[in-house]
Amino acid sequence: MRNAGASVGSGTISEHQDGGELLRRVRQGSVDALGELYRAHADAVYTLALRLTGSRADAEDVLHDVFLGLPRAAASYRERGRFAAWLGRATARAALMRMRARRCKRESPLEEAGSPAAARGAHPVDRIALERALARLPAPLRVVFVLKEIEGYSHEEIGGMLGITAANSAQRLSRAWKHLRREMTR
Amino acid sequence: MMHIATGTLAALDASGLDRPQRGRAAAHLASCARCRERLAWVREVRRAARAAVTEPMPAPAGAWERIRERFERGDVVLLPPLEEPPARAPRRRAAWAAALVLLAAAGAAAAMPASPVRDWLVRAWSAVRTPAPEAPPTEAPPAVSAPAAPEAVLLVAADAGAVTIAVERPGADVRIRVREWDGAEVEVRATGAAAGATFRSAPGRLAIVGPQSGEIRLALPAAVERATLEVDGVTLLVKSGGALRVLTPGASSAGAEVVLPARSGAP
Repeated sequence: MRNAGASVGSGTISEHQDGGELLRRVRQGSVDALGELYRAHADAVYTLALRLTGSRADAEDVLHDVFLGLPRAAASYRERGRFAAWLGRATARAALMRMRARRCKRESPLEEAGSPAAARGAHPVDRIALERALARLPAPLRVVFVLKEIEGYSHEEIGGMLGITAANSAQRLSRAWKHLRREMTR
Repeated sequence: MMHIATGTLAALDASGLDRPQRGRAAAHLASCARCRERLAWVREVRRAARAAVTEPMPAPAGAWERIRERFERGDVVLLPPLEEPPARAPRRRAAWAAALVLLAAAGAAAAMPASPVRDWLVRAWSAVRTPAPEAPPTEAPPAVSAPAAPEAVLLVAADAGAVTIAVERPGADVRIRVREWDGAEVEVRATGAAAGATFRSAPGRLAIVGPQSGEIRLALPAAVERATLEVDGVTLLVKSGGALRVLTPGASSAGAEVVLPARSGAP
């Protein structure tokens, strides 16, 4: 979400539109405005949540949490940065909260989640093997891998989200790469 | 031959190594086909992983309808705060470090029998232990300081993942504030006249009986599976997983808190 910016999702929405007017309407309780934000960002939120939690059910719960939490959380959005990046952080934190609550319970491997990318044949072998290997990573390692390598957060930012040091985040990333290598090359 | 770890190769490719490490890695890569192959693999995995972001998976069918239904029903979810806590001031850390060094030095000096520091510490300790002479009476009446607001703080552990806070027979102007926190138990903080209420606890349950006025602040653990707030047997709020559902009119929000009147007719 952070790498891809606001154009991620099924539609592109301008920062002015979603960062300003739409959020104001969401804060006021407009379900139509919330629906517009959902249509623009739901896929990106769900994808990130699925990668972090490794469970479709948990990812949908996170999707619910994020969009039902938007009206209140929007009050802390200061329009200093891009809305998509802010929403990415909100999603990551909501996913981490849910993972702590569920003690990282996993349901089904990601390759069974019906990834359209795999179905479309984009890097089919790499993608399927990667999804499977990511799903098998221990949750603390997967979270750091997704946030650093896919979402583009710095180790300092990840440390802030997870309550660990930047060095610890770097260490977990290194271990994640080691696990991935072992999973994908055996 | 020692090879470069996969994680180190990933850090190298992301400019995450310092200059000497980069130099050593480059020299090794120049002569090691195996590590060059690993580096190519790291780049391929990274490219595939990032490509996934530009092709997101579609949100589940019907999810919006379910969210919309919950939104219109009044479900509230408190997301974890997004603002970073302010960094601790380096000066304060330096001051603490300096104080610790001084303390350690004073301790070492005091341990020496003939040390003037030891004499000073003995005199200071004696002064502390000797009661001060009574002050002569003054003509001005003693200042009356405002009594501190009474406060009762209790922690309630969940039982089988669930906890219930039941408020019974509250006064009309009792307010209840609810927020989430990272603690393991529900923190109940009653202030004002509410601190004088009767508290009855059972596994996974706390009853607050007869708070006449003041505030009851509840901090619900983010990790608790289910938490319920009842007033006179009526459920006002339910936390289920990460979702907080407010079931009473008149609720409002103040920052990260949900504020509820204990009586639905109260302002």
